[in-house]
Amino acid sequence: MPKSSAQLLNASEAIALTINRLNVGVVSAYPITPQTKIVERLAALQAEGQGKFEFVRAESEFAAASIVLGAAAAGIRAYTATSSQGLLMMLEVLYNIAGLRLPVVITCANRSISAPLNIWNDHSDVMAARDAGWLLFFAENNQEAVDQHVLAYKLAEKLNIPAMVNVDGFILTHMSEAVKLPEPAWLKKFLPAVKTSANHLNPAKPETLGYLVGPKDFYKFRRQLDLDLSAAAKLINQEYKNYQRLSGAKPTANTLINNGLVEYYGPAKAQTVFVAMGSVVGTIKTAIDEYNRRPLKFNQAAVLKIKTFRPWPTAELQSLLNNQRVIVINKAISAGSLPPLSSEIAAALSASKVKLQHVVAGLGGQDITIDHILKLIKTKNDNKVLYLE
Amino acid sequence: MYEIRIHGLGGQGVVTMTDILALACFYEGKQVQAFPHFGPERTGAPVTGFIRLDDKQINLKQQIYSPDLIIVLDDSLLDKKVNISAGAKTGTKLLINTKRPSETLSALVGLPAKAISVCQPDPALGKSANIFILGQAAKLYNLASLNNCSKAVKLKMSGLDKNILKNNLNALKQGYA
Repeated sequence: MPKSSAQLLNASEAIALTINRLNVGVVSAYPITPQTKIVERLAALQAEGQGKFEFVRAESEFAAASIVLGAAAAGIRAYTATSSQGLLMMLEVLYNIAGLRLPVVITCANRSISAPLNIWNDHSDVMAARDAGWLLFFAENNQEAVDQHVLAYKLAEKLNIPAMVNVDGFILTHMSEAVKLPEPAWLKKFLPAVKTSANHLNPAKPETLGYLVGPKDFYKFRRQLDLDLSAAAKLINQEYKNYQRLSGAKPTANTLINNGLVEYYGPAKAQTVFVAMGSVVGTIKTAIDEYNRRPLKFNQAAVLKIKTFRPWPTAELQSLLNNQRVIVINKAISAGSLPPLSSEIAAALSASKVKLQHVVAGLGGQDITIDHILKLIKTKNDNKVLYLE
Repeated sequence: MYEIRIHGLGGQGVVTMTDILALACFYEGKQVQAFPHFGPERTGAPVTGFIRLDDKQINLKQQIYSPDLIIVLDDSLLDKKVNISAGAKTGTKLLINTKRPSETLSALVGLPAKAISVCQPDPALGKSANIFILGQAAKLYNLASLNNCSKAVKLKMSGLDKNILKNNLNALKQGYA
């Protein structure tokens, strides 16, 4: 098994170093906190001659997204990163990238959205882009952030569907921990440095992309995107397995299921199961370990981590959650209705006997602690949305 | 789990020191997590750095509220109403760069005198005072060997002027003595 030694890296450095190993041809970006460190590092690598890509400084996020769209349309592997308002400014282009079926990969260093102004973490930004037709990954820690970027390119290029890797701003982007970067030797096989299948800008073979279509064809395009994105689940699991094997990753301890879409951590017979995405899962794992160690073990807790918000892992949810008490941790709201993660869970489990508790937590950087999680286990279910204090 | 909080003022190298100390502990084979205070940093304003150490994988992502060790690079923080002993528990240690005697400090910060260690980097060390204090902390609290501290300083300062690296390695040696 190929071995690589771990380095102490924050997620921004780890992502930049990984992107630099993926034979990306074009990087374009516009700075925004807390994402900036990623593209700063890439710009530095390029300036030092270590990065073999073209770095295009854009005048806005709209331009950055448009530049990577163009690069991808020419069959070039392209990358950008953003956060918050920057993602919103890209949004129009994000829909176009997906509609044109271009395999762009972007990092979203998740941050709240104004107003009021706030630079800290929550999932409001990505939730505004959830229907754009992208694969949406969520990383729990820096290693997962690295791994998901490699997988994102692999899947995006196989499916001609763009992919976004969500990495909690500050909590991961500014936090250092041990990370193993993928080794160039096996990366070459996993993600060869060839032109992608989406090579449309070819003067010898002119094509028109995304031109005006009538309702019938438009319907066909949208339906196909939906079908392909939903069917991606199988390929995600397959490539996840391949990736784990090549990288020599050890199986995660105390885990019932861990595939490309979800991870179930804790005892199989847990009566209380948290559902969450991103870095907060780490804190929930720690709280659960503490809770399950107590002497009276009739009520145990577990956590189901959602790694892909799109495609939504309906089959996994329905097989894992039947009649437990399910506490959904949302880091975003949908004012006037259930928060986004909760409404997905409620829909997926509508035919089951689960008792749902919807929690909104961590908005605008509110720290979610072990104490919060332990209190939630003891809080009675009332099926209303609980805002964590 | 062992948690460290480092206080200083913007420009004194809190973030650099956090990174280097974390790296030295990483070289010791420990599981490490290190992060700055999440927010805008300004020269002269109070800055905080955090390190979490363990023998097993650290999943926890919450902020550090009850540190086992508090390191203070500048005692003027005591006069700026920064509560440097916030969250201190039984057994929490304090290492502070100050000329004040530890008995007065004890009353000031509300920690037992025996939990407090003071250090005074030679003013000639200038900007490298943070690395002197890093050396003191690494030795006093058995966090990392001098060798691993040097290795960490070298890696983090490899891109800088050779004299800067030399001064910092010298500061480290003095602090570790």
